[in-house]
Amino acid sequence: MDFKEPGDYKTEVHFIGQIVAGTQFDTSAGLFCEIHLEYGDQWRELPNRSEQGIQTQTSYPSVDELIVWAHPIDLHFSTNSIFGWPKFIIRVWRLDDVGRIDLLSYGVTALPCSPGYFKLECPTWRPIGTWQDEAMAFFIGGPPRLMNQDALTKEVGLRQTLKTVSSGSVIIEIEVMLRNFDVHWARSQIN
Amino acid sequence: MDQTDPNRPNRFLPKKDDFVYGDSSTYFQPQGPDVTQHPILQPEIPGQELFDIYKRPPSPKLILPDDSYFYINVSGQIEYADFQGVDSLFMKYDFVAGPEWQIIYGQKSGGSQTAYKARGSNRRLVWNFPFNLGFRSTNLKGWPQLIITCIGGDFLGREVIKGYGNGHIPTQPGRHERTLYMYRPKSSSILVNFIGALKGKLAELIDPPSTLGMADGREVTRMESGGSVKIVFQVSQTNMEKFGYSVKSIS
Amino acid sequence: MADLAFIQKEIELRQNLAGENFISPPYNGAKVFVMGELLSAKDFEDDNLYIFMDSRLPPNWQYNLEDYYDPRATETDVSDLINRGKSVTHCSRAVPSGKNRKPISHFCFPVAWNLIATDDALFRAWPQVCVQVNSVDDYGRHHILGYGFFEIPNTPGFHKISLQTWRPIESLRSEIYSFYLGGSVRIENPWELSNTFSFDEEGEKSVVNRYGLSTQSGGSVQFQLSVAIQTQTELEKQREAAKILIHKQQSELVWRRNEKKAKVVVDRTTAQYKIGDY
Repeated sequence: MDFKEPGDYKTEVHFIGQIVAGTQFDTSAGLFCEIHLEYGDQWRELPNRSEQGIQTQTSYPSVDELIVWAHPIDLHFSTNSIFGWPKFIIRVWRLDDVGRIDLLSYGVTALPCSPGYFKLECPTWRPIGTWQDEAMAFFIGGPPRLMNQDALTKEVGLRQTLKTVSSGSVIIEIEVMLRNFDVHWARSQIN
Repeated sequence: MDQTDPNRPNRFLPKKDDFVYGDSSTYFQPQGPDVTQHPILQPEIPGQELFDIYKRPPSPKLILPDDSYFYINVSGQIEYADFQGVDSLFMKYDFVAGPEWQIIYGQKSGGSQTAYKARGSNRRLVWNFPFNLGFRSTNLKGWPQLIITCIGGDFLGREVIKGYGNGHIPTQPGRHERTLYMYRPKSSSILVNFIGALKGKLAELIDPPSTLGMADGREVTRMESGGSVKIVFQVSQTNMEKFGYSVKSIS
Repeated sequence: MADLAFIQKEIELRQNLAGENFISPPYNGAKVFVMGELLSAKDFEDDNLYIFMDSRLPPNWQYNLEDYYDPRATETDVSDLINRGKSVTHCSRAVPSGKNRKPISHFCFPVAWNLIATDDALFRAWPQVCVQVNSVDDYGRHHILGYGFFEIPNTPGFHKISLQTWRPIESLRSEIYSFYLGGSVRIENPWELSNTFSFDEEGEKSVVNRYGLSTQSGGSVQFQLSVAIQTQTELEKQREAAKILIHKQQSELVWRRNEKKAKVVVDRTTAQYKIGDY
């Protein structure tokens, strides 16, 4: 690596880890987790922008109510700006024994920006409707969903009128590696 | 042959597929004098060279030959497993990495002994299985992963899969302890599951390292969770700073 | 240019004030100091425990003997403790402790190693310590309760290590013999446990397959270790950085000189133009 070109000094970020498990979901049905990435305009996903999100296997809970997904995550971004650091938008879906697939809960988590190992616990929630909606969700299925997904990250002000109930948590292990950040005078840890 | 005969064919035997870089099998042939020894610490015993020619060859110099790669060394042990309702397990491990990664030394798979739980309060299944691998690459994409398959006996003593687990190797140098949570495949219907339990052939993955490591097509599988395996990793890296990664290496 | 002055001052400080008395690291490689103790053993089946400990070095690691032959070392530096190969602890009876009242035996057996390693040896493999836990009872029966091993952590700092152990079991009959008469199934060479490869029939390196061996879990052994590494790489980095900055400084001086010359030339020409201009 003695001969370096301008492309070698591009700032890059690697996220390596896994979606470990879901806890405290209080259900005996199978759950799977779907994750979409959200990042700013100056960020580019390498090598190609992924058309579909990350989707894990469908897991059934263990004796101590841990739902293990262990889905590996290996993301590589190239960026020109710290603004718009990637976020995970998490959606947990439920598959029960009669074959219904329901969107169970939502969660948002920002990825860490300093190098190292992090164990993130992202709590999730789902919106509540009227008592009729809740009764229908219990018997027939189809718990209430968000009509406008912007309430998650883009227009957070819309959440003012939202009523939700807490659901379980998703545990994510992530290791962050930063490349060439010190060349551009960016610092994200005390050193 | 009964189930306890160690010489019976084992369908979970790890494949011998080893790519060793730079190290030849000259274990039994005499070597010339070793020039990499430290000059001060060699005691001057007359006739020592007669013994030195039978020494093992020195470890290959990793850093000098190719400066355009960065090198990762992973060593450690697969310590123990925590499973409820399981009396004995043996495990098979595999290391998988992306297409740009090469293994320069070390065994990327292995099989452990059968571990039983202790009678006392320590309800763990201890293997203490060591591994030591060297990787090299030019790109961080496809960071190596460790895939573990745990196999135990069912109610009649036949070997069935008790769990799969996967996890990345830590990226920071140093000693790390990681827990891999395990899951086993769930059959598509209750009838298939019942017949499989009677026959001793429950659902299993055909090729766990590629299916679990690539995560391609995992979204259509259904798994039951249970158990965990604790692993101790010790990672060291060289040449990372030349690539611009702000990770401190050892020396 | 403040960076350059800072680095130069650091190098001068080291040469003038720090002096030559501190024992210096080797030119290529590192000196590694490991100090710590074998603290305790927890959760074993029997009571009176004693532990055998052994250490081995991978290729290109050596025991650091030159610090002992150094004329600056005094008599108190010499000790039977440092760089021991095999050791055995005293015999310690277990007491219940903690909220689960699990049996724990305290040892506090000190361990210390002074080692020298080359750069690629530091990267590739670190020394390993192998442990065998035995017990003896009032009738003089000895049992082996577990084997374990670990690799010394490769980052400087304080490390708390908990070793899990296992012991081989053969059949019900040998367990009954062992219970009444003492003695256990033994592993002939405990270092085989820490080998990461085996040799097959042709002498080629091959996978390790322990299928067929049955083991039972034993308790855990706690170690506390501090690791310190002394290298010259920081000095080398500083020297290289100083070289680069000196080069930069010189090229900047040359540029300034050229600028001045160019300016002088321009001034002369404009001055002449000004005299004639009105």
